[in-house]
Amino acid sequence: MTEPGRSAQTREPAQHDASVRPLVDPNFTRLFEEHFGFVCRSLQRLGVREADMEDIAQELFLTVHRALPESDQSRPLRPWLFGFAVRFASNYRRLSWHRGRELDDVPVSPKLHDKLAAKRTVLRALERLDFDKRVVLVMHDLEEFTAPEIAEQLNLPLNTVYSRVRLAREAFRGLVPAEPESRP
Amino acid sequence: MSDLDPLPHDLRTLFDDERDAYPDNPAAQARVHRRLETAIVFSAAGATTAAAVAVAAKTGLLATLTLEAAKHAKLWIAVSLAAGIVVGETHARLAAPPAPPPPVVAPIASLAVVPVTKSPIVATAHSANEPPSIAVSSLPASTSLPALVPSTTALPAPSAGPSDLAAEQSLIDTARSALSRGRGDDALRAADDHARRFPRGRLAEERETLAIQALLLVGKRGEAVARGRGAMSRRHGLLCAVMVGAAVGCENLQDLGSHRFSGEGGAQLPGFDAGTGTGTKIFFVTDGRYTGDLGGVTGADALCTTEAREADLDGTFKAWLSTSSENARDRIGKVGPWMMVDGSLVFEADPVADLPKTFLRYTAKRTDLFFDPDPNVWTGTNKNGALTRADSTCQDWSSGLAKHRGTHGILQGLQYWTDYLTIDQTSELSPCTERFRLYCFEQ
Repeated sequence: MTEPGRSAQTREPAQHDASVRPLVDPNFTRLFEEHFGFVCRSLQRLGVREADMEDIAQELFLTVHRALPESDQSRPLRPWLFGFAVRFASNYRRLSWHRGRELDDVPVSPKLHDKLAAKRTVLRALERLDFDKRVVLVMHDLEEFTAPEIAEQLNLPLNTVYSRVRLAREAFRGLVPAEPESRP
Repeated sequence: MSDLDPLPHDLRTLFDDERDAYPDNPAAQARVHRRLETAIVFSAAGATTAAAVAVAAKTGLLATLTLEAAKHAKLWIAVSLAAGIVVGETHARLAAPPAPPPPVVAPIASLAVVPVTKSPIVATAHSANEPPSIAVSSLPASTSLPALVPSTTALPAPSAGPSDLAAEQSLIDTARSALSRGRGDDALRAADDHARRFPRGRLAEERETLAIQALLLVGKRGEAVARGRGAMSRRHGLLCAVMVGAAVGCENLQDLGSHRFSGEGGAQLPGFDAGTGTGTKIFFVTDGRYTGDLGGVTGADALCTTEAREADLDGTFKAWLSTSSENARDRIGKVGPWMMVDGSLVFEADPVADLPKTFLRYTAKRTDLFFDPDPNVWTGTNKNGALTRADSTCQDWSSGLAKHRGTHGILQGLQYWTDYLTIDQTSELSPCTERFRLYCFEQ
């Protein structure tokens, strides 16, 4: 869960006339490879069905590719990417065709039973959480972004972040059993 | 109000377990990466449109393009592409300080792009739904075309001693320099010189690109078209197509997103792939929604073509429909690529070889249907491009009755674009009284 420094992702310095750049910016390729899992996980926690994940991730990274040259390279990358996930997940929720579909029934293998049961518990509770609360809970308690990072990314006052996380935890607490379901 | 309490133990345990339940999925990652790469390369070619617009502006091709027209669509598309801004999208990063202007063209394939000036066309900050107001006259007078140079690692070197390469580079530099000073004839002379001495040289693609720009600059559009048809590679062809198409099309105030323009003498653009004579084609989703009674596939094709004409698109269009006697994949063929009117690639060649490169969201008039409450599209076709099942075609698209059924896809899902049953196998086929859209492919 370490956050790779943004400097590791930075684009090459300004090109001079003789320089040559390859097909796809290698910085983007690196970013994609390092953060594909993070983006998919974030999208899923924000309500994107597993079956739709690749579609949404593809569109998201296409947008990231366009935005990369204009982004502030000195800022942490993951909160920035998470901002895209929030927007895409929010849009996804507006799509009409999957409304009413049940959450993915996560298959449970004996080996991963506890982990997947926990995942199912968390995703089901998140699904019933108000979207704003869901976003801060995922950012703060699951991805462990700092409150100032969240405040900056969501353009919220710091105290609002704190209070929203508190409220989100309370609401989340009301939505999960004391012990995760299916745990022995 | 300050720091939060630590997470309670049980929640911490729950969250720790949850975090471990997202294993890597290299197969999915590879699939998405492959699709992304194609989309990115195509976008880069689209961005080049802006460069062609700059040439056109300088040469007077855009003389009739008023500020008002530019505001409405044409220039906006090119400029937004160039700036890497997508219509309808706002920048996610709210607190980001001003960023340096992006290069006008992103790298493409074996071609690499080097902005000649430091300040190419840059779209101003704008809201999502409001195109920037950029008059042609306000384009930087000194705007130079980005120079396109082939990657030395990406191209074979048929003739290539170091001295040859240096000689090639010198000629290319001369051509580029002349072009940047607006001296098209000089640029052409250098390009022709290069073509004589190094017809298949390492910098041949760049020479051709510069030559096309120079031809446009001196007003020889017909020759530019012809030269574009002799594309030296698939990607070079695409680049030429977009460049030439944009310049010629702008004069007629046609949509820059459309590429099917006529050059002098009625020559058709673009020559995408040398040898096949095929070009980039348009794909769109119908604005209209229709019952299953489409008048057969012929009637459906006519509906597509009618919507295309209403949007000033030439060409013949066919609907993506299967019948009891013919599969959609055979009706449409495998001769792409197809792109939408916003310039984004949707199918590279065979519509069923891979998933769409991006969501199939635009009508011919560029209405975005992505969030439309009616995303269903008649297809009668499964993901292999074949008839879904015998009773899935509303009687070969001639019945609007509830007792008959048809199958459909959904434009909001790449995986389900042609076959909704893929995700919802328990669902009923749709009664033919439903009003769904059509996918239209240019032929």
